[in-house]
Amino acid sequence: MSFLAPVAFFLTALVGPLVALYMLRSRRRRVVVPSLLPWEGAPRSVSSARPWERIRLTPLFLLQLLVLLLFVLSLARPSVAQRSLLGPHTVLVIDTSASMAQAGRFERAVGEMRSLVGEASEDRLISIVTGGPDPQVLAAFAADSAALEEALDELAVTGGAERLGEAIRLARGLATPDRPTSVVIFSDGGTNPLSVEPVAGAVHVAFPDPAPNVGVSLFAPVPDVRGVAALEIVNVGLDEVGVDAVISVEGVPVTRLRIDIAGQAVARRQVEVGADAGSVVTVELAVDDGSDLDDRAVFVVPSTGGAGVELVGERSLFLEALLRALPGTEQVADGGSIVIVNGGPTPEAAAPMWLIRTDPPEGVSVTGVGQNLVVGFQRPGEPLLDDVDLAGVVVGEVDIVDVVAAEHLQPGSGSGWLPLVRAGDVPLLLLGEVGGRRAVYQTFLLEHSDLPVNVAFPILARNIIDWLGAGSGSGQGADPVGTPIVLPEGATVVLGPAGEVAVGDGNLFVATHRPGLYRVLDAGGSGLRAEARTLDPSEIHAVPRTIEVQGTDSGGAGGEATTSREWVGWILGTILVFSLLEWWVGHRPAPARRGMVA
Amino acid sequence: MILEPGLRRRLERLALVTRHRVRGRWWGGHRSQRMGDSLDFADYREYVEGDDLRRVDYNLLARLGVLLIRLFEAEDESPIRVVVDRSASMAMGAKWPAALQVAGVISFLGLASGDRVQPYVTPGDGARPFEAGPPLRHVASWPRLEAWLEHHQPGGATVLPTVTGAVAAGAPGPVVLISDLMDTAWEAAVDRLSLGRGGLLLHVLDPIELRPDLAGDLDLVDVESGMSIAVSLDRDAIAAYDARMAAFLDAAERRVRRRGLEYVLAPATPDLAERLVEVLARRQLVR
Repeated sequence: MSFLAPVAFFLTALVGPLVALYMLRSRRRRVVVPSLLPWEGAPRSVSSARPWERIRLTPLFLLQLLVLLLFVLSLARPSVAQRSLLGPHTVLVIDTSASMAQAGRFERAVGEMRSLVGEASEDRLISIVTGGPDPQVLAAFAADSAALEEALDELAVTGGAERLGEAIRLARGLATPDRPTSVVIFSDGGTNPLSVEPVAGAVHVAFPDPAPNVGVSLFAPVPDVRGVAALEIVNVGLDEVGVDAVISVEGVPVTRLRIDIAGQAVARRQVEVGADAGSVVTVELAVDDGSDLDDRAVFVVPSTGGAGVELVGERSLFLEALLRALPGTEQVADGGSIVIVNGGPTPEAAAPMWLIRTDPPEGVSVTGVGQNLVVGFQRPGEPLLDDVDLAGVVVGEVDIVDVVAAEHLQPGSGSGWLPLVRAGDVPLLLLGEVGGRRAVYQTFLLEHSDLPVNVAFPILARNIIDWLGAGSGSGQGADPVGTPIVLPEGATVVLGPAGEVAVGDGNLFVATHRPGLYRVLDAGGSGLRAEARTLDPSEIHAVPRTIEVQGTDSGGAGGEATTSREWVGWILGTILVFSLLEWWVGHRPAPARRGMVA
Repeated sequence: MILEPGLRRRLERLALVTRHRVRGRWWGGHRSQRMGDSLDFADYREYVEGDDLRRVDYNLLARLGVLLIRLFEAEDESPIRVVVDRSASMAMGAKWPAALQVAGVISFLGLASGDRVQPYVTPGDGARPFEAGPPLRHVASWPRLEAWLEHHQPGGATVLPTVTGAVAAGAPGPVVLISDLMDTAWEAAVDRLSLGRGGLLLHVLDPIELRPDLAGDLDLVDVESGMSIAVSLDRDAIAAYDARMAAFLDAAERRVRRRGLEYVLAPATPDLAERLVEVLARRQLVR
């Protein structure tokens, strides 16, 4: 036990005046009595001139002394160090990456969070941040357990990798100066190392139990070979595992494979699926392992094996060199499945387009021209920016545009553009659609920046072309989770792997963090398009680890921090009880006396 | 008014009872120590010269040849003397009205019984230790007796043994002492009270004396002597007072009964008169 205000113990000096009050002789009251006879033998007051007398330890005095000491004790604010995860404000960061689906980690984490949010109060505010591929604040400074429970109900494990670093930064941003903020991280450690370790002032609730896992790390059409899919299955466990893989086309099983995979090994197969373009091909593993999330994969058969890219507008040596360098990409003079427009007017949308400082498409308006801007933001968790670091890229001249943001699309909100890269508030690269087809709009010419000479340029271009190609049905057949879906005209509903989400037509659908098949439906329920999202294969290999923290404890599930719990309430209650007792002692009725002798 | 009319009507139907033969100067309602002229035969004795020949039992003379005189019971009055302590201690609380009420009940019962009642108060006026009221007989005298009692107010100090000794030694008959016995010589007062023929001590105390509501450091001042003591009263001290008061009451009762007297503790409560009549009836002192 410790005291938060030990200086209050100086008030124990008040015991002196209390004792003095009992030792000092009070001025005696003069009472006339019929006779002194019955009073002979009564305790006599000290009759000398001394103003004090020996203290009498009466129950009243002892009770008053006790009340005084308890009062001083309450002012000293005694407290006990109590191991609890909750402080005055606690930010719960939960890892929603695919690896958390293994061995029931995610369910256990949510269960522990539910027990914590049950203790939420005005003295113990709770915020919730997801640490998945798209870190978000689900609840902030909430004291309402019911609201927090509802936020937890929305949580779902994703197919992407965690971004705990950004989630922790979000959590730090929720810190307020008026009350101490602690961060509790529910994670198996993740696959991406944190930018800063040890993490200061956080608690890591770890899930160290490893899970033997078998998962589909790749299931995609083989480029340039029609009707054949590549299947890659990883066995993370130490023991050899026999796996039955069932491959279906549009829900009809077409092939069943028995694959034996040694421990810590990868099995690769090429499977004849014989499906037509646009067909949905699914593989399901019949295996009892740590995670069901990676036991299923799906792709949509593309229409062609490669991407024919048509260059339109001003000639660009950078673009021509790029197309020559990118594998699987061929420059065509006309009728390309992907069109790159380098300046000039925006053509009719006959194919997905990469618009490079063209006349602004629908939803974009140019408000000015900026010069000498440096990239300062790229959208976190964006698959198009995977392995792309544009920090420090300088743009000499750029159109300053005003766009209808599509970051959080709502039904009926109309067309929208999603800024991926910004220099300050100026968008440099936007995702959207033109004429119902995927489009990327770049607000600067390549020649006006040092982007083409940056190592990230070919990777960014590859990602853009792959994304545009997927939208045209000529890409890889499946995109990583998190890749937005461009909704064609008339689309109102996206039916995802975990249910359906209502959206407006002509927008981007960004909630694609679960792996599986997303079907785009029109208002009548007819299918317009199907797109597949694949799980991040690195999550299959994820091995639980402990995030190094500093200043607080870290441990297994149930890792705890130390908080202090005050006893003031109990002490004040005890004071009240003793005060009532003191009142009773001072006012208790006298026993009945003798009556008339009969 | 000491006694309410309703109470007086009840008392008129009652009579005081004496447990011993009395010897009064006047005819009354109590069996006398001497022979008399009533119709109740008592005894024979030999004839002596001068006896009334009408009382000779001629039947016995004829059969046995002896000359015997028939004797009959006499009924005398039982003069009652009611001594009311009016010292200053009786002024505390409701003791004085209670003492007057008790004195009124006893006196009225005596008058209703045909007995002579003489009230006394102590201390008397001036140097006299007590003051005697008029001897009265018959209930018609009640207004005079009531007026005489109401005429006095408590005050001063008394010497109870002197008073009880003087009154008890005066004439035969019971003496009724109404007092709080707050006198250092109360035991001697009780002893001398027994010099009369029977008697009754009505011990009047205020409820506040039986249950003192005092606490803290006090200077207790004796209302009669003016002496004071400094005491510190807490619950333990009050409990000790209770014990001493109980011992005092027990001692007074034992001493009174040992002297062949009757003892009644009379707390000064509003229903004192009614309760007193009940107690006297239960003890067969009235019928």
